[in-house]
Amino acid sequence: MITGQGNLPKRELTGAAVLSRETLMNRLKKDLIVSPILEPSQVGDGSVDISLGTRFIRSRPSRMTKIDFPKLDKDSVRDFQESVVVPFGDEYILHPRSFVLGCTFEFIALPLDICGFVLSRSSYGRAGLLIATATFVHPGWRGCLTLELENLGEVPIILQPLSSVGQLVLLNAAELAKQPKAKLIPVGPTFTTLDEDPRWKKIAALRPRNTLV
Amino acid sequence: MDRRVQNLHTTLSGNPRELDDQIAFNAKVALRIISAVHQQYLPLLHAGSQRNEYLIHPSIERAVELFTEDSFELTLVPDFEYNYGFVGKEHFGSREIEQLEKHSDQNTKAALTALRDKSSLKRWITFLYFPVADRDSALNLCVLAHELGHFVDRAKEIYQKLLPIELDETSFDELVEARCKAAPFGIKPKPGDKQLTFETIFTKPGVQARCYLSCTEMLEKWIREIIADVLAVHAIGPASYFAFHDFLACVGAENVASSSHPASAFRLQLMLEELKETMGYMNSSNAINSVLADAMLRVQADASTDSYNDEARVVHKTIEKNLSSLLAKIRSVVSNYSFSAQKYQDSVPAVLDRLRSGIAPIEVFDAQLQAMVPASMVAILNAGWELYKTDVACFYDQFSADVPQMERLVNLNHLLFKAVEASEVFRRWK
Repeated sequence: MITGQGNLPKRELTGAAVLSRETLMNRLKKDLIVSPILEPSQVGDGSVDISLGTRFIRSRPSRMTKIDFPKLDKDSVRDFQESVVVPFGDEYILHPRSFVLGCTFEFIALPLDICGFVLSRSSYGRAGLLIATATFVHPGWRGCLTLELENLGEVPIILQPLSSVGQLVLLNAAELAKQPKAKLIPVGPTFTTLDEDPRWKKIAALRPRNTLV
Repeated sequence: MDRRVQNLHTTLSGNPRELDDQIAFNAKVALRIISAVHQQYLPLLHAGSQRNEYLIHPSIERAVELFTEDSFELTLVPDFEYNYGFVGKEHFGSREIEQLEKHSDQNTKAALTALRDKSSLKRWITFLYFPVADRDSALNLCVLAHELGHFVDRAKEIYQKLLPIELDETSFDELVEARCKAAPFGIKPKPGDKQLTFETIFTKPGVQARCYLSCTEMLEKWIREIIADVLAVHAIGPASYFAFHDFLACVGAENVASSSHPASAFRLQLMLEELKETMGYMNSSNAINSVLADAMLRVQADASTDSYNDEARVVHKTIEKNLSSLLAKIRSVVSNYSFSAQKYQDSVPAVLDRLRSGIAPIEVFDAQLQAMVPASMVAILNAGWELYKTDVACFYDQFSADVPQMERLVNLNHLLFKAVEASEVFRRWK
């Protein structure tokens, strides 16, 4: 139920709806976890501000000539990416047109009937910082969200752990029957696992065979 | 530094200009080393780049501040050997700068003196060594509590407060008698020869003095280990025992005493008895108490087979005789911070509930305040150990079938790291 403004009548919502601050506060006391909430002002109408954590995965110069996802196992990922920890109070400098994986400082656990979207804060966006490309968060998801941080501007951007870089917009969703099994409960950014996609085998099977004419 | 400068004086005595340049260069290097003894420069010492120790460092510092008023700088150093260790230097900075002053001109000397008088110069420079292999294991890193115990012992001079301790007379006399009768090293008497004894070469008082020195040296090392064990067990409760037990299992330690450490079973038994008798554990039949009670039976059986020879026998007998008074004095240091069974019961279950469901237990609900409050590091670590020891299958069950068990355990440890890190930030933020 939402309340309209002025003379507009009240409307029943049947589909997904962004959760109000009041609902969010209530759910945060029960089964929605965004932990820790350092300031009450982090919780707004429909969203919770999220901040940057201390762990990053950065790309480094390597002898890899290409990223071929079906052949990209864990060892070869580490040929061109590495984990770093930036302690609180320290900073990570993101150079123009460079890319780093970060994570949220907040640990998030969504109930089975709430889903979310990660959005950049517009102030950062205007400076050229993009924080997420894979923005949907499934109901029942747990962990620290991986943020894909990219500097689209012309000037280096200083990233500091705990800076409030984005927001998690929360909506109600059709309730899942049970908690989905986890691959991992991440507390930092995670390396790509695209090599595990079963689709690669099927794609390979469709490849035309060499035929002798 | 002093030795280095002396060497320069010797080798460059004919070239005063080169000597001055070299001394100035070495002074700069020494100053840079002193200023680099800081956690931010840890990468210099570290081959890897994932530095979980940064996440727990602030919590460790706050814990140590509870026990000592001295200023200190604490650096966690990864070690490629599977070993934990502690090195502490008192007044390291000021002593080294003092050495530089001796070899400086007037201007530099004044600047160095000013630097030495700075209150920002820490009294203690301490290094805690931990195995790189345990970098991803918050559970195993609980052994660091023992190493911090060594630091507290040094800073608060606990060992000195336990003195004097008299060596056990009977076993000491037996040791001296045995040494007097023993054949000197390297000379083996032939059958029928007149027995060549120590007494034919040395006097008995001389042998006594040597035995006394070696026994007291060993006694000091053993008692310092006991102090660190007791402080650790009081500071972080059962987690300290479990971590130490697993560490011994990992290194495949035999149950024998060495010149620096008492036998493992004796130490484990001491920790368990402290948990039981002083801290109130094992008085109920809940999960963690049952695990501890089972461990007690095994450790008692192991400890009953301990055998001590030579100096170790004297030291062991001495400690056995004085144990209750020693423990009473050590406890007085930590009595305010002891993680008793009651504190465990009050704080761990709420943290454990969250952890069991795969949630980093960063904060818990405080019924009195009607608000979320940061979980304590000790409660987080103990909840981790309780889950691992009693109900880890329930935690593992949350993962899909293709996730290897080892990765699930690593994930548990990462949740603990996250909880320690974020709860500390939460606490300081408020």
